[in-house]
Amino acid sequence: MRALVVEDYHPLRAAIAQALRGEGFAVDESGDGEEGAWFARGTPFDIIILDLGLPKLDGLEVLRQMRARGDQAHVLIVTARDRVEDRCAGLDAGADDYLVKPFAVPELLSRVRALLRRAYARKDPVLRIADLAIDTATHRVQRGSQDIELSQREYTLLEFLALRAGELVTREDIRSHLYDFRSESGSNVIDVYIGYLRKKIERDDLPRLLTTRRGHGYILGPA
Amino acid sequence: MRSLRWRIALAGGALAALMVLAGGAGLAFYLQHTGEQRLRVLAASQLQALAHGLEFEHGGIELHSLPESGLGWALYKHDGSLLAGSAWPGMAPPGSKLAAPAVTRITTPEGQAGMLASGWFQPDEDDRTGGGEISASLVFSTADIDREQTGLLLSCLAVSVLTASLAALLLAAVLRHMLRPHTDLAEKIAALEPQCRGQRISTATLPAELVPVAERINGLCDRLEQSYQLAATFHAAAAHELRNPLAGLRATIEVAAGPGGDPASALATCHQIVRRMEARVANLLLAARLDAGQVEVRRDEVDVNDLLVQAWEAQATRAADRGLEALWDLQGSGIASADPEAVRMLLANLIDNAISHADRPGAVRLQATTTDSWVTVEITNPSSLDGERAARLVERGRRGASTSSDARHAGLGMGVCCGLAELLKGRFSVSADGRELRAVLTLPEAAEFTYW
Repeated sequence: MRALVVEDYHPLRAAIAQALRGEGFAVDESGDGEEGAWFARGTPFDIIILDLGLPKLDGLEVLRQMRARGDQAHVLIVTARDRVEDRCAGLDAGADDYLVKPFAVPELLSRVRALLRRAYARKDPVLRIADLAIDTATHRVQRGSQDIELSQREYTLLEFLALRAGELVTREDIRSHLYDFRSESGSNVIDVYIGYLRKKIERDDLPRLLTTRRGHGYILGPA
Repeated sequence: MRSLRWRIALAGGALAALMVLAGGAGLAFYLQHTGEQRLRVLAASQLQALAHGLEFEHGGIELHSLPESGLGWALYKHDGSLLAGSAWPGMAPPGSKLAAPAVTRITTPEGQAGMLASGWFQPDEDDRTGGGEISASLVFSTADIDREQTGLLLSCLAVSVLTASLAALLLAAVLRHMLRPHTDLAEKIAALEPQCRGQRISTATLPAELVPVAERINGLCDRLEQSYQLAATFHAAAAHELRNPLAGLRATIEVAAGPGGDPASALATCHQIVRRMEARVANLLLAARLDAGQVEVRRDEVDVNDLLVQAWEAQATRAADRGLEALWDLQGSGIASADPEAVRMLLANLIDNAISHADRPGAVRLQATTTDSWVTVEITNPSSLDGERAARLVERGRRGASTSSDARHAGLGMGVCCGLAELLKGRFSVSADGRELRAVLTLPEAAEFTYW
């Protein structure tokens, strides 16, 4: 998953980014509204954590610009403004959720996960594809009754494919959603991680779940 | 407590009633006195008529006529013996020979009220009474006249009471009308809400005497509303100044405590946040004290150049993190007459602001000059703020009302700088041209200073 954190208070921005990376997100950071708007214009973020009181361009204006051009990224406003009018203004401008500072990081992460489920029209935090179960809250993955140990990157890739189960997911989709601007993401890196993932979820002659469409991408689902 | 209208009505009504009743009583006294006098004149004329109607013949007296209302009459010889008529105990002849008849009130043995007139006169030559003067006494009834007079007095009294009542009613109506502005003002004052939000009393329709009262109340409402606004601004500023660092602290700690956390790095970050929070809390308290006029400064010789260097060094690490370097230009003694603590806080705020508002890496110019009895500190940092937005930074509590974050890390600090500079008899200004933000602080130079 790809996240953007637009927050001018550096210690808080760093902490949020670190927490999201710990959840497997590819995170980009911005310290002002103009740069945040620029990031949002060029990248399909799954989630944007947006402060309102930003230098150069106010957070609400960033949000309005995004919605005006049809950007569907889920936006979670994180701000010190706690008045009802402020919350209403934020939500009415197109935010999907609103969190007042200071907040608990686990709550922030839960809200982010909830927004992602909403984005992919899911209510259950456990994603199920055939006998494969992926608990997005605990990051536990099982095939049948068998636990599968995955690295952070492998889990993120699996969750992304699972959220789009049955759909063709291109390499470009994977690259733009799972790697931030600072990451090295050559095309073979994705193939390598797909290979690791296949070995772990399709071992012991279990039915295949991950199909490769050469030259196009990948589909997660019963063959 | 009785109302003002009730009090005025009571006093006015009592006064009016007293005047009307006094007038009625005076009129009654006048009528009674005049009636009495006329009765006396009537009695004397009746007596004269009696005397002229007497005729002495054949050794006796013949009375030709008596008053219609006569109750009795008597004639006495000069020695006091009864000559004719019927005498009662009260009808004795007058003791002295008065020139005019004597007239007195009398009650007959039957209890009838009457008037007794008596006098001496000289009979004609054919008088056979033995010669000399004789006296005549005549009593006639005054019952009808007394009854009429009593009726008149009662009428006067009734008219007086009625007039007094009407006067009281009229007074109440007039007072009600005249005191309407007073009542309206009282109702408007009672309708004022505790926070006076936008509520003021219109003086357009008030009488001149009540205008100062309304203006005074409006002035108090202004001050009250200003206090509420200051409190709201303070709360907003406090919330904004504290929520960000608190959020930073909490998030840093929670992430450090989670899997893959780096406690040592988090501790350093938390320490940095706490240091800045201390400065912000000090600013908040100072801003509140400045607003309340509770800040006192002392005068001392302050080496501004030295404090400027110290202030920069305290924040040099943060400046370096943001890619900022200092360019120094210190000229002159830099010794100002000011409160050292206040100047330290001023300079810390200015440098904090310069670092926070520098929106790109570059140089922060720190200049200090001493000319014309003034020590001037000028701090310039790279910033894209325009002049209008920069000027608004010095508005106290700008942050509370702001929807953008131009005032971030500055609204309160700049406002505090402005307040402190005024308190130190100095000046403070902020300007910008879209490329640089410039803060200028001017303090009075110490008149004479000593080197240690």
